[in-house]
Amino acid sequence: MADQADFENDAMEFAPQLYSAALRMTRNPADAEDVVQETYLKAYRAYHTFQAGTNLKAWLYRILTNTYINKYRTAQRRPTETELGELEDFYLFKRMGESGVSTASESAEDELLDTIIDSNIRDALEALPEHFRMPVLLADMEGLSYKEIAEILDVPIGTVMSRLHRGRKALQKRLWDFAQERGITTGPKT
Amino acid sequence: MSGGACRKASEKVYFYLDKEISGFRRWQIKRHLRKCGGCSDGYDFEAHFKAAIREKTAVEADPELIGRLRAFLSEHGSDDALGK
Repeated sequence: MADQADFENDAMEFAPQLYSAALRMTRNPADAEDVVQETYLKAYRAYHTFQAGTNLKAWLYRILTNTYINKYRTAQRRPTETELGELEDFYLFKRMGESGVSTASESAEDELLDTIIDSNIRDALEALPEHFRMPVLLADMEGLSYKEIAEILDVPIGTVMSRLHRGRKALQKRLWDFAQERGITTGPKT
Repeated sequence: MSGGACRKASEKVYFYLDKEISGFRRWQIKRHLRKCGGCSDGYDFEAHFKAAIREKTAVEADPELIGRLRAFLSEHGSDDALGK
């Protein structure tokens, strides 16, 4: 059991990281700070239940994620899991190959990829079903391990792997589709 | 990118880039990538993609945040019976 008096000393170092995650989730600084404040308040009050010596960062991320989902995501229409379908490995790499850009030069390919990501990443992430968006966000943007993500989302590690890998491919498909709709690329639409 | 070794390499790309695969299995992939230009290009692309989305969604830390959080906790932390 952890001592509530130690909470600030133990937990404050994670605040900037949690704020960055909250901002990526909410896309709005005021909402992000609300989520972080509520997270810290809940964590402070529940700190006596935290098992000292276990992963405090994952525990805080778990409270943050649940707070965000309860507050902001429940009422919104999200695509369902089955709408994702099965996508091939190296999805975007293959689409760019088919479009001919990767044979032009390596720098042209990097430049196009950066443009596609710059213009569309926020919308593409937003378009992912929550079950897939959260593992992608926690792994790729927060740099957390599969084990930590499993603890945070309270799902088995195999589920994390499956959702993360499918979510990444779906993100690449969304990016490619947006890039085509917005005239950035002209390759075959799938 | 074709054949059994390539298929295995493409299935393992995320485990490899996430450093969730180690030892002999990691070495096997490295060995394959040295020999196979197609898989090596695919791995390089995914590594670049992973770094780019992290960079493009990066958030500036707010130096005042911790001070505001401490003030918020000292104001509201004791609202609850469990608080100090």
